[in-house]
Amino acid sequence: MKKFFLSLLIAFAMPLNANAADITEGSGSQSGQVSVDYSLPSGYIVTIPADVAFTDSQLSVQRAVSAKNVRLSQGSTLHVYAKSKNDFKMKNADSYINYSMLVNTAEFNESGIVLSVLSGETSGWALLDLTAAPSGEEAYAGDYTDTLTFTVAIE
Amino acid sequence: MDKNNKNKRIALILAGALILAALILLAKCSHGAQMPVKDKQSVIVPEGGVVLTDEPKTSSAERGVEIPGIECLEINADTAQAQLDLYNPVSNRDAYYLSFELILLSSEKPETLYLSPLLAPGESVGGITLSHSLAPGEYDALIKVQPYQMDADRTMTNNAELKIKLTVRRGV
Repeated sequence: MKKFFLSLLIAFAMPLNANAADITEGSGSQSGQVSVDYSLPSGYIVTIPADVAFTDSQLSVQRAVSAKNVRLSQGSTLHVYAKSKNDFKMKNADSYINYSMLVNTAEFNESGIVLSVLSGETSGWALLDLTAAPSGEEAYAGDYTDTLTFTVAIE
Repeated sequence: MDKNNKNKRIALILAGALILAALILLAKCSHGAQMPVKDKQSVIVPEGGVVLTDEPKTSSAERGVEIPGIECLEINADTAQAQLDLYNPVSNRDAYYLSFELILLSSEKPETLYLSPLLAPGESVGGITLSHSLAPGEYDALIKVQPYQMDADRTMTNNAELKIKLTVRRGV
């Protein structure tokens, strides 16, 4: 009687394990396999300088570019590129003021990269030194502006 | 035997009295120099002291603008509905709004698939409607992130472009 009820119990319980590996009764030891996985997306948070304001008394300004919470696929690298809209000229109509940028005290090179973070690293930062060079012969009063675009790519 | 029991009883009473006296003395001492109680919500500020927070007291211009980024975006084919998990970090509070523009690069001319409204710090994008659906495949795309100052003119600042891989799948 006990065996009968036990068999009934097993029979009713079987559909509840539909997602589990089926292991049928056999004479020897049995095993089943179930795959277990967890997908972690890559991502990051970058901080870029929103504004750089020069004044007569402050022609050199320091800003930082940084990355945190970086998670990349193994072997890939996060690069942050910088590009000036006006080729490092702050413009006011047809008048302009040149400015320059150093990255970690080195000249900003043609690659345009200001920061790189390798997979396995979770953060990084770079120091930007920006210096304005007004000639003193600018034609107009008013705001001279440029825009820096920071492009982030995982390569 | 009775004498011994009696002595034991007296010793116990004396010990109890001593302990009680010590407790009373301790209570009196602590009452005269109470330690401030710190709970989870309050911060103890000693007289003439300064409350320290996690963030250094720098201007928003010096702090910069925080921009979250992704490497890949997966969407379903044959539908214009998609999920874009991007947000304006709370750390940009009192400083910058963000807008997110999803741009398809693989077509002949870059085209905007989606442009978000201005998001305040703490707000996120979530479910979006693209300008049109896409056929299955892998595409190069860009998410242009434009910060705006929280001034009356909503002045645009330096911006960021996030290069991503856009994967369009059937029945995801």
